[in-house]
Amino acid sequence: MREQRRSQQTLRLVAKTWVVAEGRIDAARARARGAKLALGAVATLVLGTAFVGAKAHAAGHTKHRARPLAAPRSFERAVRRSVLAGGQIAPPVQPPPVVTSTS
Amino acid sequence: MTVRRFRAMGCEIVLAGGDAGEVAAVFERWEAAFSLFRPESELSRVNASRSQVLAVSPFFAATLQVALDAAADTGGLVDAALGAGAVRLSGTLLSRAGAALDLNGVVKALAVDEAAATLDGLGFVSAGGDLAVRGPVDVGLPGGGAVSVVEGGLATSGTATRGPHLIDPRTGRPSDSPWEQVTVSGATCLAADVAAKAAYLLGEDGPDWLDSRGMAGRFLGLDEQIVCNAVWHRSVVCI
Repeated sequence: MREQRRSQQTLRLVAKTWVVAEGRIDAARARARGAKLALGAVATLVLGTAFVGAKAHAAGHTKHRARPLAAPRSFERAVRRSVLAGGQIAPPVQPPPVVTSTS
Repeated sequence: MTVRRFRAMGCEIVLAGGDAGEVAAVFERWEAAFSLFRPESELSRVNASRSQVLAVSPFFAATLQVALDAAADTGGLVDAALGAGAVRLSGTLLSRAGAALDLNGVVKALAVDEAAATLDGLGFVSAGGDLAVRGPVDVGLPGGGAVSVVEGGLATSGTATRGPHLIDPRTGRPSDSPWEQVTVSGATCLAADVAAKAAYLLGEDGPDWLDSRGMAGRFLGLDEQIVCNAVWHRSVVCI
């Protein structure tokens, strides 16, 4: 009887220790998760601030949308050659093989 | 210079100095894409479509852009959108608010210019009287007389053949121009054709309008009187 009671006490102690250990692991995991989230948020904030700061202040960073190096279309329109341009005519030298007329 | 003739685009094509088959192929390509009388042409399909925004071929888009440029350069006098306006082109995307397109005003001249570019030596290509030359070619003029076209094109616009068919976009009615036929020399057949139409529609202001663009113009009036602008006078005796 005594032997049996002792073994039951031992079993209870082991179970209690196990439960305590499980609780501590969960708490540690929660703390680690929180720390990771905090580190991620801080890193994102630092990177974002640095990106915006660099865009706004650092030389060599584009401050506006990139534009092609070609002349803008408005300029091309303004200087493009007109559809209308004169040809070259001269006095005739022989009877014409063709006649212009309305079509 | 051997002159050959055939029919295309509803008019007589006259050419000299080139391969007739090659020239005929050029006209056939343009007609296949832009004829209003062929239901399978791209222009007919575009006009038949109910969509307001359409994807068109690069060939179609480039030609329409030329027509829009011509309208801009003539202050809307030569308009490919049949006065319906609101035709926009962005790359190969065409947007039009129900406007039927008629690109005949530029298509024939562009075909003539392309056909003339195929000539391997001196010669000319003429479509219904609008022509482009390679080297000097003497050309007969409406009402008599002739001129030597040294470079570029020569086109005539007016009412002599088809009656009062030119609509004045400013009034929406057939033009009451004092001219019967206006002949213009241009750097290309397209330039000459567009300028001749605009000068005809401008009436009395036509000669000065051409002078301001450095283009030579000869105006045959309804009273058979011939008027030439200053640029024409500088090159040729006005007869």
